Amino acid sequence: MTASALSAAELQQRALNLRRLAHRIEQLDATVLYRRAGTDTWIGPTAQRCINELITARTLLLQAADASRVAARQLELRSFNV
Amino acid sequence: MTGFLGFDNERLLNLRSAMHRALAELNDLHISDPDATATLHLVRRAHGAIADRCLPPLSALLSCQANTTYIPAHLPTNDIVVTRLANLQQTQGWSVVTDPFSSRPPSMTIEDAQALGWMLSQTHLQSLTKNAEIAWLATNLAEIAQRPELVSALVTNMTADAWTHLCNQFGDDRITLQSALTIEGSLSDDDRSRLASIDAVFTHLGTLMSNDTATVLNTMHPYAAAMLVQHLHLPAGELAAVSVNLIRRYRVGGWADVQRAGPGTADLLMHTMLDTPGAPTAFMLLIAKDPAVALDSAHSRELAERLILEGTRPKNITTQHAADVVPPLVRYLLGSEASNSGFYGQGSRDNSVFAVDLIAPWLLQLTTTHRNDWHFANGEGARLLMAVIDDGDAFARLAQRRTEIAAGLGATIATGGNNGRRAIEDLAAILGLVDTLVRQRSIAHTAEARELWNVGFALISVAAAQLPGGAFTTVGTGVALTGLRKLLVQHGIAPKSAKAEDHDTLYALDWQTTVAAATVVCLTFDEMTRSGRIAANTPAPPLPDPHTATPGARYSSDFETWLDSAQLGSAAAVLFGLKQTLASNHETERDAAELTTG
Repeated sequence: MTASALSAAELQQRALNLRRLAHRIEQLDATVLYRRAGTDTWIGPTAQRCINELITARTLLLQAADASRVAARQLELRSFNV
Repeated sequence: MTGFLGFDNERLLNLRSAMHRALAELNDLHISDPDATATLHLVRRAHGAIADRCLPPLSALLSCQANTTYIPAHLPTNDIVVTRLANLQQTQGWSVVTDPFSSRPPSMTIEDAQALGWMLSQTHLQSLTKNAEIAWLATNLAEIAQRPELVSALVTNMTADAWTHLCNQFGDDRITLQSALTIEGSLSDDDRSRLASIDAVFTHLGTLMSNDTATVLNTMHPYAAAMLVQHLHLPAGELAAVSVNLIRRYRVGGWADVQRAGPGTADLLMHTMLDTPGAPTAFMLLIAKDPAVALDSAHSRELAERLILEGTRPKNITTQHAADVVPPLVRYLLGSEASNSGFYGQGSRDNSVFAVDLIAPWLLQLTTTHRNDWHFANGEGARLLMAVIDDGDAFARLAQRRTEIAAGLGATIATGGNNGRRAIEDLAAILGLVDTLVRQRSIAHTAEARELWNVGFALISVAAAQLPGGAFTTVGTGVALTGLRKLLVQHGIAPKSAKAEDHDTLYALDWQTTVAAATVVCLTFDEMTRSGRIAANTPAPPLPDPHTATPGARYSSDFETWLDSAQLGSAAAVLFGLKQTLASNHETERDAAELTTG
C-alpha cells in the first residue's frame, strides 16, 4: 500500500486507532503494578529487584504510548497532503 | 542487605494475581497497523520484564517447593542487622525466607533510617557485639550521614538513652582494643577490623549529631563523649569549654580508660584541640586557676605539654591573658601539689625543665622593666625565674630555648607599637636578666657559656630588626656592621667560635652588652648614612676592642671620642641616647634583679 493510494480518511482512521492504542496502553494495570510491590508487601533483595523490573516495565509502556502518538501524528500530517 | 526476604503472604498473592492480569492485558493488545511496530516492540519488552524476571521468583517463593532457594527462616530478635524483618515477622505475621539475591539496594530509604533509629532505641538491641553488626551499622550510618532527610529520620526516632548507651558501649570496647594494641603492638585481624568499624561509627555519629549535643555529651562516659567531640567540628571556644567539662568529669575517676594503656579521654580532647586553631589558648584561659586539668589528665605527658606550650605561645595569647595563665602554671609546677609521676600512667615529668619551656618566651615579662605587664611586685619576676632555674640542667635548657626567647621579645616589641628606643630598652632589660641569672648560677662550663652567647645574639638580632632600616638590613650587612662582624670573627668572639672558650662567662657577658650597643649604633649609623642625615664620608663608629680586659668601659670611651670628633650634628644625640639606653638599662636591670633575688 503506498501513501498515494490511501485516502485522507483512511490515514486519519489509522491515526485514530494509534491514538486509542496509546490511551489503552496508559491505562494498563502493568503501568501501576509497582505500587503493589512496595515495602508493605515484601522487603529484601528479591523484592528490590522485582520493583526495579516493574518500574522498568512502566517506563517501557509509557514510551510505547508516546511512540504510538508520534506515529498517529505523522499519519495525520500525511492526510493533510493527500 | 540482610540476605533475607520478608513478605506479607496475602499481599504477595495479590501481587502475583495482579501480574497475571496485567500480562493477560498485554497479551490482548493487538493492532495491525504497520506504523505501530515500534510501539509493539516496547510493549513486548515490558511484557518480558514482568513475565520473565518478576513472576518466576514470585512463583517460586509462593510455591513452597522443597528445592526452592527461598528457605523459611526464623530470625533472632537481638541481631540489629535483621531486626526490622524480625520485628515484622513477630508482630505482623510476615514470612521470612533466605534470599538468593544479596546485592545492596541502590540507596537507603527514609523508612530504613527511621527503623534504624527505632532499633537502636530498643533495650534488647543495645548490645552490638558481633563484628558484622558493627560493620553493618557503620556502613548504614555512612549513608545516612550523607543525606539530611535520612539524618532527620534517624535522629527523630532515636532516644537520648540510645545515643548514650551506644556510644558508651563502643567507647568501652575501643578502650579495650586500644589498650591491647598499645601493650602488644598489634591486633588480630578481627580486632583490627572491629576497631576500624567502631571508629567509623563514631565518625558518622559525630557527623550526623544535631546541634543539641550538650545534654547527650554530659550523660555519656567522658571517653565516649571525647570520641564524638572529635567529629563535631566545634568552634574553638566551645570545644575548649566542652573539653574542660569532660576532663574534670574524667578526673573524678571510675571510668574504663582510667589506668589503661593507650590514649584516654584527655588525650583525645587535647589532640582535637591541637587541630583546632585557637582552642589550646581558650582551654588554657579556662583552666588557669586549675592547672591540674591540663597537667594531670592526659595519659601522654608530651601531648599535654605540647597543648600547654601551644596555648601559651606569644603569637597565640596576649601578654595580658598570659599573665593569668603562665605564672599560675609555673607556680603549680614548682609547688608540692604538682605530681611528678603524672596522672594515671603518665611518665615522670621534670617539672623544672617543663617550667623553663613555659617561661622561655616570656622572659621579658619577668624583668623589672616589664613588671607591670604581669602585675608583678618589684623583683617578683626575677625571683620566679631563679626558682625555675634551680640547677645547671634547667639553665642549659633555658639557653637552648633562645629561639623561643627571641620570639617572645619580638612579639612583645611587635605588639607594643614600640619604636626603636623601646626595643633597645627591652633588649637591655632581658640581657640584664640573663646576666643576673648567670652571675647567680656561677655558670662555668664552656658549653653553657656558648649557649648563653647564642641567646644574647638571637636577642640582639630581634631588637636590631626593630630599628630604622632594621627590617630590611639584617645584622652585619651594612658598612659599619660588616666591620663589626669581621672583628668578631677575627678575634674569636663570635658565636660558636672555638676561641670563645678562652673567655670566662662574665667577660663574655660584658662583651655581649658591648656588642649589643655596637650593633645598635652601627645599624642606626648605616641607616642615617643611607638617608643622607649623616655625610657619606663620615668615619664609621668605633668597634669593640678585642684585646682589652674591660670591653664595656673601653667601648664607651672610644664611642664618646668618636662622637666628639665626627661632627654628626643632631645625629650625635640620637646615637648617644641609643648607646646609653642599652648600657644603662642593662646595668639597671641587673642591679634590680640582683638586689631582689639576694
